[in-house]
Amino acid sequence: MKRNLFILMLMLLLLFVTSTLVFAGGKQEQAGPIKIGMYADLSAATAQWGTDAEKGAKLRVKEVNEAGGIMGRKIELIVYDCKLSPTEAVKAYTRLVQEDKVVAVYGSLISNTGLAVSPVAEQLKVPVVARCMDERVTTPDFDPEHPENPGRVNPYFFLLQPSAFQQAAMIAGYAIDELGLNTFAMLYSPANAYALYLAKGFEYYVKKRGKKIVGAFEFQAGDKDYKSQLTRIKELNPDGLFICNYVTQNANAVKQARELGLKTTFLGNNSWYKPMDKVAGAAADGGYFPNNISMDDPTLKPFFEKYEKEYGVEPRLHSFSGYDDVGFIIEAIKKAQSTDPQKVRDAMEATTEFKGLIGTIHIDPKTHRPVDLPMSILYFDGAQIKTARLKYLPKKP
Amino acid sequence: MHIIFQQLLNGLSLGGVYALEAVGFGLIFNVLKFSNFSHSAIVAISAYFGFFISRYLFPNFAVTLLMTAIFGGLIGVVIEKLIFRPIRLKNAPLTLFLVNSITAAMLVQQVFAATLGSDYYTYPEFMKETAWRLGAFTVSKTYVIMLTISALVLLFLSYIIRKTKIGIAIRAASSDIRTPSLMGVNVDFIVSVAFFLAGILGGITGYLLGMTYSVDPFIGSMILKGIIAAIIGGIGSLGGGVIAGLLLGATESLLISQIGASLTPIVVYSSIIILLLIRPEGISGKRFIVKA
Repeated sequence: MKRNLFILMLMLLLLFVTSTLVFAGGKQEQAGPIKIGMYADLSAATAQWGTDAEKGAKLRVKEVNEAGGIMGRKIELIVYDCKLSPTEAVKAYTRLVQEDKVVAVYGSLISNTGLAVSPVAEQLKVPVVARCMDERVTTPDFDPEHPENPGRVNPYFFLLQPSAFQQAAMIAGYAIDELGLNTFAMLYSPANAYALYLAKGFEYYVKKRGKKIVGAFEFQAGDKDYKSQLTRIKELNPDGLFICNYVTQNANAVKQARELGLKTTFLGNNSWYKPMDKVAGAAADGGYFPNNISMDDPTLKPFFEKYEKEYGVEPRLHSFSGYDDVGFIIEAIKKAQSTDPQKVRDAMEATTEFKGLIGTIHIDPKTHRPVDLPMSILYFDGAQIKTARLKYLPKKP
Repeated sequence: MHIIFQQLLNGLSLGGVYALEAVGFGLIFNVLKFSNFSHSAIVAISAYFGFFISRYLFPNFAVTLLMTAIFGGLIGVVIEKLIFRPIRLKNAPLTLFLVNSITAAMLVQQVFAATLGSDYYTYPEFMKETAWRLGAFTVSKTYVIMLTISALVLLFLSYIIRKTKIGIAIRAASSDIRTPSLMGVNVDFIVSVAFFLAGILGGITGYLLGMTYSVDPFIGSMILKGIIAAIIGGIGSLGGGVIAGLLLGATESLLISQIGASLTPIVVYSSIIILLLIRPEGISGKRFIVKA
């Protein structure tokens, strides 16, 4: 019901947007600063991610401008708050394109906003770069049952971090090849697309590698008690248990699993990162999970100093994301030597080696997702997050 | 076989919480004959209160639990004075009580979502090992504590309701709220006491839920299962609520392990409808003419 209503609203919005576009046109200004747009969650539950990304992005813009800008022009970053809301994100994107006439847009990392903006971007033809994990953001016909065939790609949307299937492969690959595990169970909430896609991706990779999923256990969105499922998992006694939901659900799951005395190795998703250490405590000990970076990585040191000097606080994960992603956009403008969104888009699609802090990005033109972008594998020890492996890449399935 | 027994243990401990919720909910229904959804507001407020005092003031389980229980009781009285007493004095229809109680619950939920919603609140760890192992079985300490506290509180409550003067007055008010006032009983006071007692139960529920699962703005919505237990048990029958709470927990646990989490609610809810079609008064309740 809700979904139908949402699609209907989106269609109406599209109709409105396209009809105004015909008259408005999308001409870029030829003088003054080059404008780059950004929509992010500066308020609502995910505000910390949005504001961190904004700080990182602004630092990059400042550096480029201090070095003289590009093509003899300065860069201007225009930022709107999309408040964790898909409709606000569509509004912000449309405004950035039609009123501010930006060259390209840096979008929020929440997949729901990406799914809403993606078809609009295809209409307005100004490229969006974001960190969503849901495959459907760039390949709308993606079917988790048939991941080999991603389907049609949206020419105007690019993702800069490993997608759900890629991240699931990271942890599954590490578990098989480095930890020597053979049998697995999963515990996830299918109502959460993020958890569902990770679970599907995990299952796909494990089966392709000839290993076994002995049980896929679901729970309902509001549930906090998973003891029934965990008791079954204890009985099946798999080598590894993949727990891939939001942080409090993950924390409740590991606490209850410990209580029931499960001996299996916990495997997690990127929501096992901070504040999971605070919420789960020592119950998460011995669990492995993938993350874009490890703060122990010595190559990140210079950025720490720069960032602390600018803002007086330590950078967090998405401070790095913001710095990298806006850098990716600026690089594409430089390569295109143009502020025409179409040419910038072409340059983005042809990116084979953008050196970011988090990793080197090579865009796959068929999916608009990065190829072979490594992640770090982290683990819990004494309620602390430690690094198991910097820049890990799993074997191809 | 022993797996089924373990599932039953899991279920009974979950059922202990449902029982606590069912009694807190049923107590108010007994006296004022309306479904008091604002009970979930007390649960949520107490969960946060318990978190803050145990994390920052006294990291002691018993002390903070007791403080939270009393605090919950006071919140219950405040809610009654603020939103129910005014309409009670005007002899407003029962629907209005229901509307007010739902609104209060949503208001509290939204206030927490807007102010404290973006962070995570975890109670301090009161015990190193959270489970007892008896041979092949695992019994969660927190759940045993929940069950024990629920049992003690319910015994104490039934003593108050059966043996004390104020309890007799509550029972009198619950069969008819007007007559006792004609006989010189201070009904206002009786209602306050009922809300205080229900609030204590809500406070304990909130504390125990927060301690087990960490606190979020929607923690109050967990009492929905308790309300269902109260209805199955025969709304108004406190003993029935306890039995139904334990039954519901055990059934859920067994069903989830056998048919999965997505089918379980479908089976549970349709069985409840069938049960109520056959026995509208619930497992042990008396039929009420007025229901909201």
